[in-house]
Amino acid sequence: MSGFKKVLVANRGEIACRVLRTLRRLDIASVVVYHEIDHDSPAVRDADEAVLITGTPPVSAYLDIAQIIAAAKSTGAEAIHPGFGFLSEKAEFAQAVVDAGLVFIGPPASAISAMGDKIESKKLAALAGVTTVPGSGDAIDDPEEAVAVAQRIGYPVLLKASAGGGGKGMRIAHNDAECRDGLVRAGAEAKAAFGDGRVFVEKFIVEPRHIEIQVLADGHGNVVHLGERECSIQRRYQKVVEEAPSPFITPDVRKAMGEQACALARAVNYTSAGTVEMVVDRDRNFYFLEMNTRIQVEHPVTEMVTGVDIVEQQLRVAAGEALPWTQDEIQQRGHAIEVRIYAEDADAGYLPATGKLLKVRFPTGPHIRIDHGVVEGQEIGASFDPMIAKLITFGADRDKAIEAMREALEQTVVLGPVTNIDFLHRVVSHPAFQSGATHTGFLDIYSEDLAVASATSDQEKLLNVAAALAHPDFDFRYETPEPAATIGGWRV
Amino acid sequence: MLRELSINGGKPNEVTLTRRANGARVWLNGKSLEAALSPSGNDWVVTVDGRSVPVSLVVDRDKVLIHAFGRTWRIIVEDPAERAMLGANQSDVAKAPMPGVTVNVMVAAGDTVTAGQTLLIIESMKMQMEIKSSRDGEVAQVDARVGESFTLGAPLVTLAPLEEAEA
Repeated sequence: MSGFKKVLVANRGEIACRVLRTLRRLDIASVVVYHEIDHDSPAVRDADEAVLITGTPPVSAYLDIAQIIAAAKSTGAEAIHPGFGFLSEKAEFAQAVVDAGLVFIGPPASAISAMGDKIESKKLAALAGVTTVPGSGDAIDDPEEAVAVAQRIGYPVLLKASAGGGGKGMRIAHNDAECRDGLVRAGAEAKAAFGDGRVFVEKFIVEPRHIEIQVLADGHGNVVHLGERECSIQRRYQKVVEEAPSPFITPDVRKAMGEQACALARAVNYTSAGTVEMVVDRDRNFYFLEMNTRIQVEHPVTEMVTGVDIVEQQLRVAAGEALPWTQDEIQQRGHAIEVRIYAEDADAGYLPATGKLLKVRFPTGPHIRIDHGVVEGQEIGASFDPMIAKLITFGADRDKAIEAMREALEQTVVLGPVTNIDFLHRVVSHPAFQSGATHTGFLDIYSEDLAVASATSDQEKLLNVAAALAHPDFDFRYETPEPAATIGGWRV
Repeated sequence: MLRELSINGGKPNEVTLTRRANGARVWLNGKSLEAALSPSGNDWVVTVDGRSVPVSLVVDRDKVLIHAFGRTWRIIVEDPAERAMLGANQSDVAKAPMPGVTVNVMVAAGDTVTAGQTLLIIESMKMQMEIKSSRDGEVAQVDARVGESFTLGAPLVTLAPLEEAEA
């Protein structure tokens, strides 16, 4: 590749490892920044160079623009890949990178700011001809005004913080009282979390599906989309299972969604990879939600069905290359599913879990991809997101991808903190999931079906015996003499 | 050496065993079983009365974590005698139901609180949660500090023990 010689990855964990993999394949030297807490992590091990950054709590190190730019300068990196989370959607960071004479591997700062504000981005989307959910349009801080809007568009409504994300600062209201209360609470939560308490009101879509379009744009005016991902299986507005293509939308709807997503990207002079998130109702009407101006956690499913390495395209676009294909040349082939393995107790309200990864073994196979950034012995703490790994399977069709996922989950061994691996297996095994009847309420509606099953008596026997034979409480200094043991205390 | 083993929080099973040259005799709820646990690569094979199953396992203090039958199992190994000696009044302490960060503390040592009153607000997994008093009483100690993080089960607010007469 004629582009960069050295790139710095301003992230940690699995996405850092993911970006490093493509850098290695393209013979680009790599640098990662890391906080002391991550000094034994695979990302630090996999990179050609690693630069220590400091901060308390650890997350603040990865948010420290000055330290990260200094690390790029000192190592001679020409460009910075932000991954996702942390600084990836901070326009200020993208601008600071450019101002330092480096290349930001992502969209221009102006596109990040344009899409970063939920209210502004919705206005821009509407101007670009993208369909949007009926709502207040502007931020509202008067509960009575919120009630008036809610009555105009009809209940239920969603009260959503402008700066919110990941479920923070969101409330559903079914009546005037809940609307008043929800406005105040969503605002307070967003104010505390993001320092911006503005809230807007919009129509709450019943049985919504979360379907998003992956777009790629270069600096030469070319914009293409790589089709959709459906991410309707969510807990607390966070995605758990993602797949491509969606089992729900038709070729016509896909085409219309793709065209609108590309129109929005053009409207904000977008470059690099981005995702236009849409909500799709029962009748396949789709509405713009937001645009994520970075690579996404679930990008592997798109890579599996299109054969495109999205990180590679981000690098090429950042280096000034043009996209190598037109829209017609992009095909979706087969089906891919991704599950997010979290350290959490799904059977106890998705309670986050912590602890040391005592034993880790991921499955391998021709239809399996595993993206992770953990090692055995690593402590899963509360400092960062509790995602341990992403497991992705591919199949010629959806049924085969599901079957591969069931097998892969059965072979995934993560012992230490409680994980959601068994829960994910129950989700992808559920008849409603298998038939494609998914929407964002799936986990709530089927919570009873998805409850953990107890061991059969045969399993119980084997498990108790294995545990007893392994546990030191049963290690005796003096062993019972063999003959006496054999006869169980009886004298013959 | 009797221990109670419970699988994934289920009912306890009484287990005792006698080791032998090639395995052990295990009594599970009084029933005798011929058993063995043999290494196999980085893993193990457990055999009970002639049936063998491959397992991955690690011991973590009082827990044995097993991957078998395509699932993960958490088995607690408990000494019934030891458990009987525990039993301090736990309801004096409001403990963290999940790891997180303290957002707001509404009470201070010496305050009188009533059952259900919000003591503090914590945030975990991007959700805020109110921690409420389990009973009426007086706050003896507040360990939670705004902005500081805590682990699962950490004491957040401790109430003064109840008077003898009330207890």
